[in-house]
Amino acid sequence: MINFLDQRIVGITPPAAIVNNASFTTAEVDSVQNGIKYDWASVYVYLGATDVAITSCKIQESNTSGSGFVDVVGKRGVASLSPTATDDNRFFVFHIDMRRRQRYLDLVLTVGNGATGGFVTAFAILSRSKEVPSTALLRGANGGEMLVT
Amino acid sequence: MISTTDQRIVRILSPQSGTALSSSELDTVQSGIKADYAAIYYILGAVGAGGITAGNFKLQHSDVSGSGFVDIPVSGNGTGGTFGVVTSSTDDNKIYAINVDTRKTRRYLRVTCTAAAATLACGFAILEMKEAPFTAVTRGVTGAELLI
Repeated sequence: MINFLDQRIVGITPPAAIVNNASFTTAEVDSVQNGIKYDWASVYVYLGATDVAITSCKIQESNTSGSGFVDVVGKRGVASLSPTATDDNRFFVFHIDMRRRQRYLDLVLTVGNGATGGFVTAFAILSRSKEVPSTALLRGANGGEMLVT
Repeated sequence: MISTTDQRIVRILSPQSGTALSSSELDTVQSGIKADYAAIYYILGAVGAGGITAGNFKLQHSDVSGSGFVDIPVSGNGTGGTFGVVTSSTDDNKIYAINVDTRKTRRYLRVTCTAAAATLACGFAILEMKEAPFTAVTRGVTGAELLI
């Protein structure tokens, strides 16, 4: 089994111009894609160059698309991470059991007030669906996909 | 099995804006363990005017770190290592995937990518190792990891 052919990548925040003292625009993640439920979601926050800490980096959930989002609370409290001003080029990851969560996830991502701010990209990898995605588009590769064998 | 915790993520191009968007090299041996498969992802933001022309977005490999990289040839089943044209008008915010059987390529991989004008992009690879990583660090999580 090649795991990544059984997963779906979903963009949350595409690479964007550097942001300072503001929140990134994030797209919600629907754990149901093309009618197929994914049991796990791994949300990756990928930092580029930054000169300031991320002041808010947390996951919210809702049963309704576009509204009603509340903080995800795990056994250790609100699901949040705290990238600092020296965490350039690092990955921060939330692995989420979607069987215990509401259908939609949203990432709250706010950059503090620095000299120039930070580059950040975020995406989710959905896994453990009942039916595996069988095409590039269903795997989330909406630009293109190559198989090198 | 939670597949994403059995994989290792590797940074190859931090989120940035520019025209020179080639990746750093990807070593398919991490912490002494060989990866049999690699999924290399490029996520584009706003693509600059002129896009990325044919032949300027491709995968290369080498047996030697830092030198000797050559294009991945088209294989017997018709697949190869080069993407088609990326246009500025229609390809903003798209995700490009290269799924590589690294048992059949050389040890080091890299993506060469040159845009005609400043383009926002990032790149990373997800490796499937012979032995599953069992810590955040060996999963490539250089910042922090939370299991919910």
